[in-house]
Amino acid sequence: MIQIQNLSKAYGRKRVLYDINLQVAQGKVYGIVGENGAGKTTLFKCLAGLEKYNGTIAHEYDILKNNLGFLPTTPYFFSKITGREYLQLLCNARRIKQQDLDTKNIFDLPLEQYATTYSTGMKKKLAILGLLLQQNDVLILDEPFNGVDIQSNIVISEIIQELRRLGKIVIISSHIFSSLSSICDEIHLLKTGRIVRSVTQDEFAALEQEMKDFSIGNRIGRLGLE
Amino acid sequence: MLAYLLVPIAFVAVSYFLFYKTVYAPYIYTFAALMSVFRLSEGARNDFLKNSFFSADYTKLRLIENGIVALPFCLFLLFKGAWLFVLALIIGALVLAIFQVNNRLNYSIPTPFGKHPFEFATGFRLTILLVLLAYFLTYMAIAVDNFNLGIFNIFFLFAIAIRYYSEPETSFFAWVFAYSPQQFLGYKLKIMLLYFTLLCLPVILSLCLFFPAEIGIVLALQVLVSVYLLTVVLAKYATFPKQNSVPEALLLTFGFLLPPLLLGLIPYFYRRAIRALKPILL
Repeated sequence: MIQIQNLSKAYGRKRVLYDINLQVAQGKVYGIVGENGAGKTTLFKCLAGLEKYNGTIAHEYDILKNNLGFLPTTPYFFSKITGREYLQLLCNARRIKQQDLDTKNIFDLPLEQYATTYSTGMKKKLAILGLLLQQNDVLILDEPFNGVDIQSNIVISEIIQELRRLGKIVIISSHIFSSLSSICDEIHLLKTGRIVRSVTQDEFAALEQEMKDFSIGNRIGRLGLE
Repeated sequence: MLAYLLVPIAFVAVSYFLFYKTVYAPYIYTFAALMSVFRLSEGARNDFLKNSFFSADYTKLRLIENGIVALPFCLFLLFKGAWLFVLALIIGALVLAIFQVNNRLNYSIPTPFGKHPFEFATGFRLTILLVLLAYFLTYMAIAVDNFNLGIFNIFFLFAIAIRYYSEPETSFFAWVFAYSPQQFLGYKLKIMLLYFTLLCLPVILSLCLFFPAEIGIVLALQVLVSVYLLTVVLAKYATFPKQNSVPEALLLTFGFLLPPLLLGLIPYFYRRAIRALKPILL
């Protein structure tokens, strides 16, 4: 269980997160939705310990980040490092000895090629694979479906279901509501740094409709298309 | 910052040393210059420039870039009266300004440093031509029975390895370690010592084999440059995730010039590195 209480974050005078209160439990998948700039990535970075914040994050681990895997929106790779070496680096960081990377290469990535030459989707798949090999208890995935082909999207969704079955905590953000609604237990709507709605599965459809209405509004009509 | 201070002095010093030590200096020098220019022809970089500038501006920019890199080498070659080499270098720089290197090939340079990425694995690939040059110069040192040229290569490899630690990695790649700051530094230093020894091994073994009377000097210098590099690694993490600034650069320079100072500098940088890593790792 991780309990986030009154988490706030500001960059200088600009506040980006306001008193976030959230509780996440083992064996559940949580979705965070919100428009660009709502604060999703900042919230994830605070949770991961990559950004300083005000408030508290209570948990049962000695050091949360040592049990946590974080997938950034755009994973970073060193130049001239192969996919295999990237995975090796992530495993070394957790003292995990990997014997059989080729069998575990479920996305069929060209591991001997430099990771920087991978396409956007391949980079994301490599980063996800690295997090899975680390055997983290908590996974924070920022836009895991972005840029990934449809077959891999299906595989990622299935992996998340399996992680839930294994009792892991998974927190995901996505711009694609349908990809979240099919795998999440709870979805939280983040708007200008505040959680404005939290819904469980039976309310997903209503939230999606609300978001659609809000996003579209009378915008199309303003175009005056004929 | 250290580079800005040391590079011009080191460039002239190394150039003098090279021309003083070997008759093959103009060849080595021109090769090194072309390698420096060659790096600017990297495919992704030039694709970006092509997309950002009009064609004529792009060509002008590439000519200026290559000219700036080749100029110091040309001036020194002119100073040494090596006109033909200057001509070769100018032609090479012009050709490389027009053509670019495609690095999106399904090929990666094999490295013995892949088990513990990333510093030596990426650094080795980025500087492989310089590493090969160091090995070639060692061969030349043995061929012409010039021990000093052989010793120079240990320093040359040290200078190359400094580059592997010159830029702090993004803090994510320190954060990802489930290590305490002490364990993290211990791991980084252990890998550095192991891999730097491996990088220098062909030079050390060759010199020990062909100059058996000088084994003591070879080993002592290897230990010294390893301690230098250890200090560089600690200095890098002393300001992590920020880059080293003028004070660290000056301290390192003094430490290199007066090695006994390292006895104080190493614990100083170590303490600062632990302090800098704590918020990221704990």
